[in-house]
Amino acid sequence: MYRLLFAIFATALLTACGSVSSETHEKYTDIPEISVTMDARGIPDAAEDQPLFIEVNKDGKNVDTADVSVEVWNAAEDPSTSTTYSATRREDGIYVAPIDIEMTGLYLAKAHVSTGEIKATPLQYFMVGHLSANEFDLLEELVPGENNAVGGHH
Amino acid sequence: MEATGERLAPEEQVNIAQNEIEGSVTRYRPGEDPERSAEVAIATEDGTSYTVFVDPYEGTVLGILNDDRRIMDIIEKVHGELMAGTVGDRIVELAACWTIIMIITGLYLWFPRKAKDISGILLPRLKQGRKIMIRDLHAVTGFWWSGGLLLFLLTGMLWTGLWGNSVQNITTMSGAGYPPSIWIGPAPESGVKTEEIADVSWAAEDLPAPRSENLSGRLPVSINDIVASAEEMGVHPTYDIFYPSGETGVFTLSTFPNQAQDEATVHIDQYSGVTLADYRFQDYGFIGKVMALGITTHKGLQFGLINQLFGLVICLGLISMIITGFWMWLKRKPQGNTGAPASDRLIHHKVPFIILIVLAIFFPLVGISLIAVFLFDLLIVQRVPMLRKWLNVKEKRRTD
Repeated sequence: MYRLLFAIFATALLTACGSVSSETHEKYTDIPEISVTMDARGIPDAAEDQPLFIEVNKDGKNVDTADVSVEVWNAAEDPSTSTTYSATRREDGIYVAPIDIEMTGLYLAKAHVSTGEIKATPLQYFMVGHLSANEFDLLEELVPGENNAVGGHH
Repeated sequence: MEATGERLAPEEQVNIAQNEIEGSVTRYRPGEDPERSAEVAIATEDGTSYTVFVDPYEGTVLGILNDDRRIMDIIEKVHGELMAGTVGDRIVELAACWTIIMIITGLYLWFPRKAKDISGILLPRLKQGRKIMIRDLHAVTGFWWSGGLLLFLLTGMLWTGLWGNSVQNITTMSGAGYPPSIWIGPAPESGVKTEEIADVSWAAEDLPAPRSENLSGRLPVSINDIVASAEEMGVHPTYDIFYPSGETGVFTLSTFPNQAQDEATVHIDQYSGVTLADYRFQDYGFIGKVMALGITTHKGLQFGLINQLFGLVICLGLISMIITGFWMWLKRKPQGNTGAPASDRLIHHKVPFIILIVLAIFFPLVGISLIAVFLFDLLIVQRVPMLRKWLNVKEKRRTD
């Protein structure tokens, strides 16, 4: 009887054990690894027709069939003031949008990427030239702590 | 609330709510009906959660509710855990487990061995005296009601902390249950918040070297985009949007409407707006589908009014069995003790013994409660003559 009771107790404990991990998703769905990366390094100053690069990847491979456009607006203004630019695909699978920037400052760019199976709307901030004190405050609001990363401007 | 004019953008509605309560937004619900207010849930620093009801047309706040005071939530807490947290949850689970055992052992006792007709087996004998009538109302009702009772008990048990969690764990892990994150398990994670631009060498080989203050980074996507995605994906309009809980968290669209077939759980990367996982009823494993249908039936939602009437009839049947069972015990009970059968070695009764062992393994809390009873018997009942007499336990019986 003691052995039997021990067996019941052990089984009870074992049944309650075990946990679901993030790998379990693969049993129910295919989660593709999609990344949309914007690079604003081609926009160092206020000028017209500066390149904003967008790379779209699925499972580590370039996606060459996407429709890509980018909305850009000054971070201090309302998103409704944004200008939308169409991006064209470069030979190496990178998409490029020609951006006009009238004055230096803090900007937001929102890409609209769509293919048959991917829909992405990543949002990114980027600096053009130097920021004013107000823009640093705005940056601090957008990304708390990021102000310190550029140091000493406040 | 009257639906007049254009709806404000979800982000504006959320901002209006945040002006009322200071804290982090945890949930937004646009509302399935044009005349229904939008809901914004906000958690304050002290951990209290409030729901702000916003008129999406006028932009006014219609009311604020402390989530701890939602009546349906309180009723659910009474129903599921007796308002006593984990202890209450275990008590409810134990009661449900033992009710299942009572039904199965009751069916064993009911099972006709020498019957000549259906009277007293499938039909109650109402004209052969009160004693037989009560017995038949208990046994025959028990037989007819047992299927429905088991359905409600087993589906209700899915919410329990020990058995329910174990079942969800096992079925989800096996691929036959709910996908992860719906009941149990983690959601997928959002991508990293800030890409190291220096690592992205593909784009700008011919560009000037970045200046030290040339900074850029990702931001969470707008709730407007998440709502637009929900509409595009055709998620049932009763959905809630749960905000990411941290830097790697995701936006989660979640809806559990009346019909299980309309359920949806969608995880969206907070920085790219990409759908990471889109779980609908058809994505559930076979057992997951059965559980989902069982749960909406348990809640009286799946089949509407008929479903609720069915639940009511089952509930009344259970109450009648409790009353008739108690009445029969009272009539048989001798003066001075409980009337429990004289204690015997259970192993001499093979079928009930096997039923009990199987159920003790299947329901861990039953196994644990049996051990507790065994220890109570060994350490207390055996040593207290008054208890021994009251429970009809033989003196100096073997404990193996």
